[in-house]
Amino acid sequence: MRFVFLLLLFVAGCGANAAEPLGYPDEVRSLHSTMKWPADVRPDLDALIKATAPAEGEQGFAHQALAVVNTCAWYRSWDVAVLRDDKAQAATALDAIEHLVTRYPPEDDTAGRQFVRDAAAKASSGDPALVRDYVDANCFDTKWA
Amino acid sequence: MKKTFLVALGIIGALVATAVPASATDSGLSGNLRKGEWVHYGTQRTVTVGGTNIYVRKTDGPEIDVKWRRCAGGAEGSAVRLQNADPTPYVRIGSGFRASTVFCLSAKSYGSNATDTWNGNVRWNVS
Repeated sequence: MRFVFLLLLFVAGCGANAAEPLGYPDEVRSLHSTMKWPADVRPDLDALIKATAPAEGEQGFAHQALAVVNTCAWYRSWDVAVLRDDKAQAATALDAIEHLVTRYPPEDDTAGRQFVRDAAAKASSGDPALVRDYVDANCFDTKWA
Repeated sequence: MKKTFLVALGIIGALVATAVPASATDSGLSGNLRKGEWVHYGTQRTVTVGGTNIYVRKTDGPEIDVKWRRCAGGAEGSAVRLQNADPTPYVRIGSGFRASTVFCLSAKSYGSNATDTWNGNVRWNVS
């Protein structure tokens, strides 16, 4: 009887494991769902996961990948909105470019931090040069949904 | 004699200035390794001088392959071998980058240990 009781405790313990860490695909999907995206430009998540997935057992870097892709999304959205004279969408995208995207590059990537500030200043004055440079350099083959 | 010395000094200075452009950026790096498997590193760096190259050297660690990759996935460079003897010279791992490219690094060990570490430097914005 005592053995059965201990066995039941063991089985119950196995079922009550702490939550397992998310796998990389789930991590990307979860992060994506918490980020603000333009209505007209969103990444194909399956393609992004495939392109950035780490080797088995290795750490993935979902934050970095999504930060770059989110930056491209807002840059593209702003550029397209300006070209078609959609002032409301351009204003929404510019706000994200100035206040969201500029927070992405980490402290130690000083050049990256300066670049997104410069791109925001240029976009604010109507100049798309840096915004287009960034998309061409970092997302030219990104698949969009 | 003094004039010759000054001219020589000037030429040497000009050569040094040409070899290491003011825009070159260099940072130390260290990373984990797995034998025969690529390990991706999450530290991102941004190219700010268009048309420039990326170089890497190893100062400590086993024989490895190194490559650059775009942090957002997609494009990546070919693997470049860094031999066991340290420090290795700086070896070019990619060239002709567009300004604003955000790149990360990956490495794979050919050492005898299943897991290992390495140290080195990465230099970018270099012609």
